[in-house]
Amino acid sequence: MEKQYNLTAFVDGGPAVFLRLAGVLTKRRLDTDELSFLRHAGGNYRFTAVVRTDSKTINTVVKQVRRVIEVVDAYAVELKEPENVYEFQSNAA
Amino acid sequence: MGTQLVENGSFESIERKPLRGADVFVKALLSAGVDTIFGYPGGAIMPVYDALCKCQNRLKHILVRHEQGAAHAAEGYARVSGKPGVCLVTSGPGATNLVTGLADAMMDSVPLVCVSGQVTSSMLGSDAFQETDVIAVTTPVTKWSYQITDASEIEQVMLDAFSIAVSGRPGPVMIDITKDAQLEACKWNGKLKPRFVPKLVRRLPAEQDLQDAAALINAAERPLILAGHGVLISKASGVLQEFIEKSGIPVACTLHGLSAVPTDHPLYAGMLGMHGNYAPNVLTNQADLLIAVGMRFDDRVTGKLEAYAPNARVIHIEVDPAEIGKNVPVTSALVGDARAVLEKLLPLIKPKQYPEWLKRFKTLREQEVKEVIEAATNPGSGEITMSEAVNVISEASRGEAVVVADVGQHQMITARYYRFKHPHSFITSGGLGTMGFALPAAFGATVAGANRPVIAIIGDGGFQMTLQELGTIAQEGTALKMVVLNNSYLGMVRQWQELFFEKRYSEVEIKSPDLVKLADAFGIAGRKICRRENLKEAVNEMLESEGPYLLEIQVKKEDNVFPMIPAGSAVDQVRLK
Repeated sequence: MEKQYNLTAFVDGGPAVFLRLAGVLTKRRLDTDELSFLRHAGGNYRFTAVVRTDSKTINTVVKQVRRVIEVVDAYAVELKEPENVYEFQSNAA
Repeated sequence: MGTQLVENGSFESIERKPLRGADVFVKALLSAGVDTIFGYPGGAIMPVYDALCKCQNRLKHILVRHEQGAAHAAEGYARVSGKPGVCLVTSGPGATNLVTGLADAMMDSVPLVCVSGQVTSSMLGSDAFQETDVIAVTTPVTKWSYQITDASEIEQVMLDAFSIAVSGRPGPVMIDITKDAQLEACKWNGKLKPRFVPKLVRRLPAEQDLQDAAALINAAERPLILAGHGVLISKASGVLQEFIEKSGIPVACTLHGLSAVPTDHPLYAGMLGMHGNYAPNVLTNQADLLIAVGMRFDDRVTGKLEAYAPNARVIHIEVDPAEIGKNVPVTSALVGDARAVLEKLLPLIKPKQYPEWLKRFKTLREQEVKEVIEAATNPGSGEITMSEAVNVISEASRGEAVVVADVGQHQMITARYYRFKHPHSFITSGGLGTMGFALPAAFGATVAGANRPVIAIIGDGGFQMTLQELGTIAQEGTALKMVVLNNSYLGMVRQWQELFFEKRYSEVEIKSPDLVKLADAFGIAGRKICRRENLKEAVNEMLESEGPYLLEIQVKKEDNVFPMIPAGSAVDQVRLK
């Protein structure tokens, strides 16, 4: 079953690493909604991707991303529609 | 100032003079324990070649004929010595010629450190002479890559390159050094440590996971061990043999795991995979427990995944966590170095025997001998068969040689019929299946000094892909024995066209030059035989010769390799004919 995942990786390196990380996704022709590489104040980068795939594939992809030498850590979170939007209403209302 | 020639090849005497990036680079190689590099000079790497000149007595550079030869030679060197193979090439075409070798090392987890020169950093991106974006080209086929544009980075990056290449799951590393970085003045630190340490450390599985795995093993009724390349990489052959002898569990090897266990060991069940032995393929689907050690369930081994080992639980001992659960669902994952994990598991295993289970292996083995092996190795009449030739080579070398096979039918036949005695006896291009691999790789293996004869077994197609390396072999005088099994066909493709394309042979007939004349032109001794009567005596002559020797054996033109698991079939649908 296809789900949408947000994959994030923290990178201790420069833009060349973006090529390598994007390659992990493009190698599998993953259905990709977003790819970005953002520099933080400390000089390190954060890689983000939003992809649509199944849970078995995303598990393997996260491990392959973690395998990249400059990646400090990586994880994927399933993006779900909130079940009940009214949960977010303040009690004061 | 930095251009003074130092006679005794030591850097100490020029310590007080400013070092250039190229000098620091060579010093970094020496301090990493490198004694051999395979390379080809060019404009963008000339400062390094100048620095190399100063220490020829400590660092041997071998000039190849094509950079692809350098990469494969470095692979052969690495697989025999366990140290990373080192290549040194120039920019542009020098670096792009390495790509096939890098991809091969990546697929087969071989440690390589490849270094290319690059144009001056101010000219990057301007399409300068011999400029290529090497990092972009090699990113998908390397474990790590980095471009050095500043001399002060060289020492740290080279230290990292060597530690990354050999740690965890080994792999190729590509370092690109711009010309200005090679020429810039810089200092040698000598006290740097590798970075990225968490990626370098091999962890051990938790105690509870080991206990659970041991419980599964002790309770199994039809267990099978699948031993792969990881057993050899982590030097676990000894403990694996103790493990199988204590547990009584039969072991089958993947293509790269061959020789991890001696071929004549009573618990050795044979080779797995598309052209492996009959028994281990059929019985994988009857097993109730598979213990995979240092192997990755490649598609050549598993056949149709949906029909693979349906009755078995799987214990996966593997250093790369990304391989666990990638192809085959795993019951017990033991992430760590194969030898360390086996050493921890060994005391938890109960001594046991499986007489009924082993009987099934024996029965299927006897069937394979009767229906395939006997006819293949002893045809009696007609042309020499490849199986017969490999059998004779195995006997004549008494299973002691390091055998390097190219890619194709002869590769499968060598894997099946050479009887290995010691670990690290078989080198081939498995994951990528690169034709032309064997000649340079066997050369690299010989250079690594195995104290054993090295025999390259190559097909006529693969030989023609990298035959220019005969020049390297002749120049170095390396005592490599080369056997070309010549059937005038691209045999493996022809076999598929015969079996699956109704014998429509398309572009598989290939004409070779007179190989003996060719070898002689390079100054290498050679001989060609086509008759059975001459086989044993010619092989012995080759093995007893000094220096490089090429033996061409004309073999049966249309011969098929069996057993075979047709593509898309399950492992137990392996065909004997």
